[in-house]
Amino acid sequence: MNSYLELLKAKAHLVPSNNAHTIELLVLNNITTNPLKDYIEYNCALNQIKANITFGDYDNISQNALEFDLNNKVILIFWELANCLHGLEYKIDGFSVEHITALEQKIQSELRLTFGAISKASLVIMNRFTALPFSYQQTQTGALEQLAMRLNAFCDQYAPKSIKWINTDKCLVQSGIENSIDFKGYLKNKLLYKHGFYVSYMRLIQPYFNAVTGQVKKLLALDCDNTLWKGILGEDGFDHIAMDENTYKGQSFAAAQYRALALGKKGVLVALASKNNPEDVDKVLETHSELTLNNDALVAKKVNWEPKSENLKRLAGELNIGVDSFVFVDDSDFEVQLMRDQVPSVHTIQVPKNAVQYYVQQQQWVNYFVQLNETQEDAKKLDQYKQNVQRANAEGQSQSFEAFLESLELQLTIHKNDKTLIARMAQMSQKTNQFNLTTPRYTESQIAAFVDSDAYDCFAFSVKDKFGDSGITGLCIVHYINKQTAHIDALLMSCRILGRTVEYRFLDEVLTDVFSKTAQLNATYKVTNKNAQVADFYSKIGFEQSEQTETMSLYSMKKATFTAANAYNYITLHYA
Amino acid sequence: MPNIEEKLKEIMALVFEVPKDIINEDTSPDDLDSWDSIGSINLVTALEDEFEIEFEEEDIIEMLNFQLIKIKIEEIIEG
Repeated sequence: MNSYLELLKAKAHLVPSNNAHTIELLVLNNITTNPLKDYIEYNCALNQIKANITFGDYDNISQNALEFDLNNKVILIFWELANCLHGLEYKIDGFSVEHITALEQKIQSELRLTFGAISKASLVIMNRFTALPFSYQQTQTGALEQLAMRLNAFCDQYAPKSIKWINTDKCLVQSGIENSIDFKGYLKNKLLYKHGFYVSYMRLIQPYFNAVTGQVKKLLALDCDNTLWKGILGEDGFDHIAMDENTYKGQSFAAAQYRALALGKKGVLVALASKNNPEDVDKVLETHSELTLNNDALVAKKVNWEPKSENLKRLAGELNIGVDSFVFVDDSDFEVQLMRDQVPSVHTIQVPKNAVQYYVQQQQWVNYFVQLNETQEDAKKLDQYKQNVQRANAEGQSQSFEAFLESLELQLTIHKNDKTLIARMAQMSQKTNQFNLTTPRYTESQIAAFVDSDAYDCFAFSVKDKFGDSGITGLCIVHYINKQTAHIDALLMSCRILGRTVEYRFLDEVLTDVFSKTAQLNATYKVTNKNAQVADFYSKIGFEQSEQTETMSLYSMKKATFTAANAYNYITLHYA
Repeated sequence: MPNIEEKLKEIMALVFEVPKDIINEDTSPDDLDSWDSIGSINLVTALEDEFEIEFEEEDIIEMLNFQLIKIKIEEIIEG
């Protein structure tokens, strides 16, 4: 949206809906701000608020504040210092001290009248005095800037504490002076601000409109890998995840932890929502030397392999707060899209791939949790909420998960004995820890030998959906021991593709192929520190367990008992 | 230039928040409640956005109805 006209068009295209909330807004100003009406109406509508906006008489702020019924109204005050006197911005440096003092006292008495009149309003938003549009090119601090500073100090001392102050200099920084200040409009119609200013201004004040209509977020749910720390715990390991604030690599992630901790201090609940082995994450939380956001700061940890949407819905039930008060931060396109689709009322924030952008983005987190009244008690609620979680009984599954998977347009491509993939297949066997049934570590020459041999079949696959291509991310190596019997030598997949039932569709195809050559297929699950999530994988897909020890389980399946499930028709299959 | 006429109708409808089909050649501030001095300023801003032109102060004084605005825009565009 690059202009006022584009905003009007977007506003006209808003689907009329029964906005759940209404605010009565009165704008008092001594400068023309009327286009603001359209920006407020538009942004409020996006936040389910119908804004009924009226403007006071031009340049009658204190009189209007005294005369108008402000009961339960939201008041927005634009008190433009330069326009307190026509041409003040170029006259003031020539004024005598007495002249400036007289002007200052006049403004102060008007401020006092205004402050006295606004106590009945439900919310008052007022801009800090500033001279920036008229002084940004000047080396020395001029009289207008000094007056702005003194008036701000006066407001700090005498204004009601309930007033929410907005520093409009931030709008000039965000949008640039060229896009925010309209000197031509100012000289012609006292229309000082233009499109860029209003866009940035709405960003600053909208959190207050949301708060006054009760739409305050309460909980920050954070992913772990590449969100709380750099790296993937299950793949890179405890010693190779980064969150040390004294390294460039770790600092953005350390900053995220400190930001979350500060929100906790404000009374925001902080929880983890991560697909990981719970023991692994617990170990980090308890013993990692670089960690800042420890167990004490967390209201709950949803660390498991269930869909995150289910985890958050469950958590909302346990805490007895609405899931619409959740903000969810995750680096994965897939997890963010899944959340938007499954639980659209959760506000999602995607971690940028670039660590510096992530560092900058974190500035905005606090905006979701803006409250009108913040108390010391807020931070103490954490313990009560923690107990709620302990008591709560978590059950229930989503009905529409399949429909979501269908909407992804998943495509599975299987590569059988593909010589071009030898390096990638070896690399996967070296790196994959979590979804890895036997955890063999093969070199390229070993894989090359399997690909060439009649006694082995190597099935690799890649997965694609409408959001992107994950590349070659899975491998199954089958060894034909004799004419009757085969054995699954290796089965592994990258964790980032899990949760989309691709693994089942892949195995369906592999088994169909294998049983065209053999009568019995054996399989092994070898226990490691990291592969607990697949302990029952073979049982899930219909193998019979024949033996179990502490370190491994043996399984087998006969050709006669195998039927392809054909249950995952939303995954389109290709052979490379 | 029928295109200007259509765009002008569309923009006036957006700015004054009225249906497009009630705007005709003679529509003036007398016909629309929202066409007051502020409405005029908003209209000028939106027209300058759309046609990438700039009005002079004396132009704005002459913009007394739909037809006159259209003629003024055509003049500026054709130079």
